[in-house]
Amino acid sequence: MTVGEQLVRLVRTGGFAGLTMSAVAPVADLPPVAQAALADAPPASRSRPTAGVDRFSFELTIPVGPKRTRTYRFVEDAVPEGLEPVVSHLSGHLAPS
Amino acid sequence: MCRSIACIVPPDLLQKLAADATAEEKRKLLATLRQDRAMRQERKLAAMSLRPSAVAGKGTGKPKRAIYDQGNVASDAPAKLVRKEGASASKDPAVNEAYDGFGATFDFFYKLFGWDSIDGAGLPLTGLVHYGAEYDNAFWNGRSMVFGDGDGKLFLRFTKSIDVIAHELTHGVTEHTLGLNYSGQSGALNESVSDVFGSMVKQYAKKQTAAAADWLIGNDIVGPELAPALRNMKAPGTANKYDDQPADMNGYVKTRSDNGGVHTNSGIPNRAFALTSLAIGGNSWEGAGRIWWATLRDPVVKPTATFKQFANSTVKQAGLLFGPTSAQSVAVKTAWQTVKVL
Repeated sequence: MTVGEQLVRLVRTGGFAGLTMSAVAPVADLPPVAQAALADAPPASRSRPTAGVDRFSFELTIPVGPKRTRTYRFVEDAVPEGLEPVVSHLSGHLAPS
Repeated sequence: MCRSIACIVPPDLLQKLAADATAEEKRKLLATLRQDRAMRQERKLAAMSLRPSAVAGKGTGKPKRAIYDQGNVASDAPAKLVRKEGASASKDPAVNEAYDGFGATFDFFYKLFGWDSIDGAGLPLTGLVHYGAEYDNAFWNGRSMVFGDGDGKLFLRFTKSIDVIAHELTHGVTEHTLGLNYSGQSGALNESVSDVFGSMVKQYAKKQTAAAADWLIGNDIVGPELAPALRNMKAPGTANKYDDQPADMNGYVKTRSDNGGVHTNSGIPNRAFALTSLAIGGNSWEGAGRIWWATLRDPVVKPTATFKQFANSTVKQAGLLFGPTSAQSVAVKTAWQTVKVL
């Protein structure tokens, strides 16, 4: 996968507040462990439903080629395996949107 | 509802009349008898929903609280038990806030509606505090009410607000009553019911009338970025600069996010409740609150209920509780018309 000015984007919705929060970062600015995670990103799959209500939901969009992206939709306790470093990094930069 | 003979003629007399009637008369009398039975059953259910003796009866009428400290780990499994029922106060304010908030919410449901805890049968109340690191949320996971500490910027600790605690506990009550599906309009109703009872618990604790209440949700837990509050039930869309809740069906948001916008579209039924309470006057829990509670106990309302189906039940319950031409009935119907649901 080519890195460079390609972007990763995380959008968080739901929670008690129902506030939409998002973070965008160039792949090149991610920590090495997160860049490595992107290189081995799993195929998108349907997230399992979570128990209870008022929990966070996420949409993570990553580049998978020069002009292609892949979007993962998941709940907070079902982050796609291997992508935890990416989600963890971007979660620290979320802002209301 | 005294438009028919059923209001004054006993059912056994109707049956005797039907025995000697012509075919057409018999058809009409039997239809009346069926309607009469349905009305009596509905009245019985409405009355039962407000009587302590009518609940499942397995509980004791006293809360069974347990608060656990999660130690800033994001785990749903209860970690360290720090205060159980009857124990003295902790040095940790989050622990005491959760304990006292559960107590106030338990008292509200039991004293006013005879509903014993979350399930009506004395289910223990389990609270998990200090969940995750600077976690900006509170939720109900189907077993426990879970509270984060907030990041100090957007949110403060979630136990600071009694309406937040009551909101989460009410999600459990909804699960054990209507069981509203957490998606689309039924999901927005699920969220709204939690705001409605969360706000009423706060008003009841503060002994506030509907007119004196602020109708704000989460004003004790927001940081400067989200001040003054998360939601405004009386004026949805005005609570903070990011608030996008619609005030009526013209603004209903169709989206895939947040289970179909459950925290956004809840503004519509929230406003219907606030308008009903303000029109009736006095304490919200004595008028609109009784109507909404009776709706939560209405077997006609299904887990997939739409706004309109829920609204129709509130109108029906207002008629059963207060009379179809009462000020309460007029208030609830007018409120749903104002938000363009009816």
